[in-house]
Amino acid sequence: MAGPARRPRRVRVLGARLAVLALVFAVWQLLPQSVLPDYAFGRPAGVLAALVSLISSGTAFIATAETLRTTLLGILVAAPIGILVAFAAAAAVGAWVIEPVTTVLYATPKVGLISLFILWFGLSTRGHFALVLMTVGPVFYYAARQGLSEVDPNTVIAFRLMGAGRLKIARSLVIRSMTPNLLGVTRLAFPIAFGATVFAELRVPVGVNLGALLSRYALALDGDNTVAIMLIMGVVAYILDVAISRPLRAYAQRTGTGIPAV
Amino acid sequence: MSGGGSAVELRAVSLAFGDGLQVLDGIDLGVREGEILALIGPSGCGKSTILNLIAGALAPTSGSVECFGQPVRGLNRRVSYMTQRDTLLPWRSALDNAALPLEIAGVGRRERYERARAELARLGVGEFGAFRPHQLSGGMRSRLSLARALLADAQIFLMDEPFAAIDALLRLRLQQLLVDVWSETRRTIVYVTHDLNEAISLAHRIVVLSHRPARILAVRDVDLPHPRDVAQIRTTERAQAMYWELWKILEGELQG
Repeated sequence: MAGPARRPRRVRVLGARLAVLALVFAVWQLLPQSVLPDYAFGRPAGVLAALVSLISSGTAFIATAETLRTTLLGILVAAPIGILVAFAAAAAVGAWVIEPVTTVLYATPKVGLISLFILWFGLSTRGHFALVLMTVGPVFYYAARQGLSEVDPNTVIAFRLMGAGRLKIARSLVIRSMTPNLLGVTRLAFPIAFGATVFAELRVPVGVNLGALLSRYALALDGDNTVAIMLIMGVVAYILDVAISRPLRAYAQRTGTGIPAV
Repeated sequence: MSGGGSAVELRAVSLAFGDGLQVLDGIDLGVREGEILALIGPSGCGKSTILNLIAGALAPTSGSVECFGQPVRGLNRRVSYMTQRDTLLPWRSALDNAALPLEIAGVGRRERYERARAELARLGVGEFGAFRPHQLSGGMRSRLSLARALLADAQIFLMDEPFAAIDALLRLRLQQLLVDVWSETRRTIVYVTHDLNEAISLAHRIVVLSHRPARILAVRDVDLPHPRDVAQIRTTERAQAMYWELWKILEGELQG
């Protein structure tokens, strides 16, 4: 009974949303240059044409692929390094040596490092990767440290009483106990890494990637293409988030373990 | 009781923590092989500390702890420990949790699952092997913990208020289950509880501890037949007399 009654309401809501969107586009298209200059905001028709051109020429796909490759590679390398350093820091001596270094690294504004990477790697995509690594590594490090501190000491004793050695405890208990934290931070790490990649590509605009395109169009005062690239980035970020959070949520439901930020 | 030899011996055991907190003061305690020994005493008096000493998770400041005639140094692999807050792994099924000690011992996959299934069935949770711990009730989790402890094949069970968080009726059933398991296996059990009725219903002997630093105030044999019907036995005159006797010993400590 509720179905038919609900459907017209849903249609009305959708209609209202579309109407608001149409109004925004109309205002955006029709406002004079003095209020919304083309070079800064583009125009809906121009943005649409830019999107069609970027997609039909394949540029959008090539640029997205390169940006995502840097993002994923950065996460794939940063995650194990961050986790291994957390294990080392959890050891009694390791904490004295590693903790001050990681604290300084975490507190240093990562965006400032890009200048250093230009000096080290020149105008190269290696600098993009390095920035992602430095940005995401500490995120995994702190999540892993937190996860390690949450391993139940009574369960460790129970494992040892059953005769488990260090390797078995690490594999079957410690890493599994840390998993919810690590999965939760993986979801957070993707937008952070994606943002770091695009920032690095903007500052060192080499290669065909979203940041380089954004930099090129912005410097050319091409509002239509700049907004089109921003829209592509938004869609990519959304798809990434959905692709990551769904399996995480499924894992959380299956195991009954809470995953932070999911 | 089977055996009757000494399973655990604590001799003149004292323990103070690093901050100077004196927890135990000259404890002399023997646990006979195959008996159920209950430790009762005021909250925070050091009952769990005694279990930790037997498990080897703590070392005494002075005195000695022996298990089957051997000094306890480091973790004591002859014991299995069940605490009020269970140590089940939330990401594993009930069957995989039960089979964990066999997995650690290197028992093959087929054999360990067969034995774990049989143990779960014996304890009345055979249908729930595929469930994760969060899908089980408190009572089922206790049965699962007990199954894991039994499969660990430890000679001594250390039980630290394992059923304290469970409602009274279900607790009775679990206590009966423990007595039945003891009847079949004759394991040595050291059982910490606040509940005098529980101590009387389960134990062959009861040790009453003082307020911290713990000293032994009294040791009483529970001269009631074993195995028992735990619901019925606490209604007997002898059990009730024992309850009042233990209460009188403890009452002063609680006021102190």
